[in-house]
Amino acid sequence: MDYFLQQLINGLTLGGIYALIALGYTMVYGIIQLINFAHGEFFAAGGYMGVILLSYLAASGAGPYVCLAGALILTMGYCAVLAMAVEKVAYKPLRHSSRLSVLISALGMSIFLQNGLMLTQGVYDKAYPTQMTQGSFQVAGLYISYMQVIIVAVTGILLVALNALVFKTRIGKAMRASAQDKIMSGLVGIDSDRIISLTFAIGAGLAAAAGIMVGFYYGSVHYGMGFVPGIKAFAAAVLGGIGNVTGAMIGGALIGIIEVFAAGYLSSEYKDVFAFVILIAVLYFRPTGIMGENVDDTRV
Amino acid sequence: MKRFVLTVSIAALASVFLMTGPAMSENLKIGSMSPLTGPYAADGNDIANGVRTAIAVVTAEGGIPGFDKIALSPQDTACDPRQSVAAANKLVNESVSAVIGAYCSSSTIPASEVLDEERILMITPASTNEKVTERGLKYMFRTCGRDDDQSKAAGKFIKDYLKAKTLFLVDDKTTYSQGLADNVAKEAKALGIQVVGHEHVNQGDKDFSAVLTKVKAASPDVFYVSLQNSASGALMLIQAKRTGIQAAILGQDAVYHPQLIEIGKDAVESDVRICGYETALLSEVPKGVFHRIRRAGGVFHLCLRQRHGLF
Repeated sequence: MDYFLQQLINGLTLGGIYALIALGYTMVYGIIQLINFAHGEFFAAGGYMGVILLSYLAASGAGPYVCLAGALILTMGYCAVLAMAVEKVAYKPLRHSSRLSVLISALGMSIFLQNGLMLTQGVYDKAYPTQMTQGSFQVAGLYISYMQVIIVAVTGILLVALNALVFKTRIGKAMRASAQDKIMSGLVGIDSDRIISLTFAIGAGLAAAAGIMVGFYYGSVHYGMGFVPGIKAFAAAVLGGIGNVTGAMIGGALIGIIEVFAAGYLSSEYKDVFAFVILIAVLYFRPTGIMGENVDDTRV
Repeated sequence: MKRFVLTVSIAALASVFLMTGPAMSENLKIGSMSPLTGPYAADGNDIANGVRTAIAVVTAEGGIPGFDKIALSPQDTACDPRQSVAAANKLVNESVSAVIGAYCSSSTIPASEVLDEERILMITPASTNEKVTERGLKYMFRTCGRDDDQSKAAGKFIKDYLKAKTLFLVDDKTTYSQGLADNVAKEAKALGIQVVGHEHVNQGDKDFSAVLTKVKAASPDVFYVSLQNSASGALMLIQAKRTGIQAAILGQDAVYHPQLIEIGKDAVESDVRICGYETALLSEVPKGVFHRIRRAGGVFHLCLRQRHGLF
């Protein structure tokens, strides 16, 4: 039982990270039907920006949790701007081209950003100042680290905030309207270009938060770290029903938990296999995912 | 007039033999092959920079007699056998005298076939697979140890010094890391140590919580970590500490890198024993982190904190 609960905690932590990244995929897909393969790189860029900002904040003498919060917010802002720039350069000129061109542009952007990180940040892993948030406590024989608590808590807060934004505010309403019908929403005065830009910014901000927390949790960041979590988060978005915000949260948590249980009870060799078997199974049996609605193909 | 033409012609012909003139400047060109991009870029750049450092040192000490300069042509193999063969061919075309590299044994082996045919010297600083120097090639040399030696050393260490009864192994499925872990497991079994588990993780994984929870449940005496990359090693050690694993942790030569300490911080300082070969890196290990560096069995070095009092 202890073993089961310990693995469940491990899975939830991982799932929280996947959920944060998956939201970016799903929101962007929801609004312009693009699988943004460069999304994983925002996660990696966030990880790097986080460690750079942390070193400045720590030098200014702020306390560890002030540093963490400050770096988190600033990094999210930075990646939001980065994502808007990427959208402007790589996707907006292709808005009326075929979906394939945009997809290829996304892959190119991913390679560009990844190699840019390698060239500017070096080939070595960058260490995080983990002593800030180190330590773990024991509850009934279970080891829970402070960072696991922080990850689950921050993920929870961000998800609630995002839900409120999407379903309770005017901006959220405009986003949902643009996702449904860009021409119609344009006719009623919604600037869809701005909404698309904003969607990219929010998605990248969430990925950046995941990047910085991963840096703290695992102790280091690497220029290539965005690829695998990016693909798994994509699987999570598909599992939850791509285009659906709540679905991405559920999908992320599920992929994390399933992956950890596959490793814990079967073999860690099959960890990644399971994430992708789920992706294939969902695409085969229920392409709309857990929360997905029926997609209307006539939609622009 | 005829005579004059003849004299000039003879003089002109003779000049051919006088053309040596003052000493011409000559460069000694060597090549390096290592993964400068991709997942092993960190180690690959270490190798290329190591060659650059060696050239600087040799040049500062007066260089190589007969040559003015040593030039380096660094090649990227990306740890890909095909790319390494292409890199070897490129170096042959550049007519280098010697090649340092490659990193992955799977790259070194095919590249060495090309270089050996052209009688170009190849010295690998990192490919530990036995086959690298066991194919009867005249121009292939190694400065690093061999996998079969390392597993013997590890087995001896686990039995004689750690006095362990149970062993858990984790590797990341590369030819090197899995081959080594398999050999260590075999060695341990032969020495009467019970192998309670052998798990495989994926290269580039960051999260090892699931497999480490498994290790904790098995509670082995020794936990052997065979990963291709020192940064992954550091991540595994940090997480092992967090999971509460009590076993003695033993690593191999690929995790044996200053980066391990930089990322792992106190997680590698307290409870870790690293067993690797005699390498130049050893002198760079900060003394404050590993209090003791000892030779044991003649094959590997041991770094551990004094409080374990094993020696």
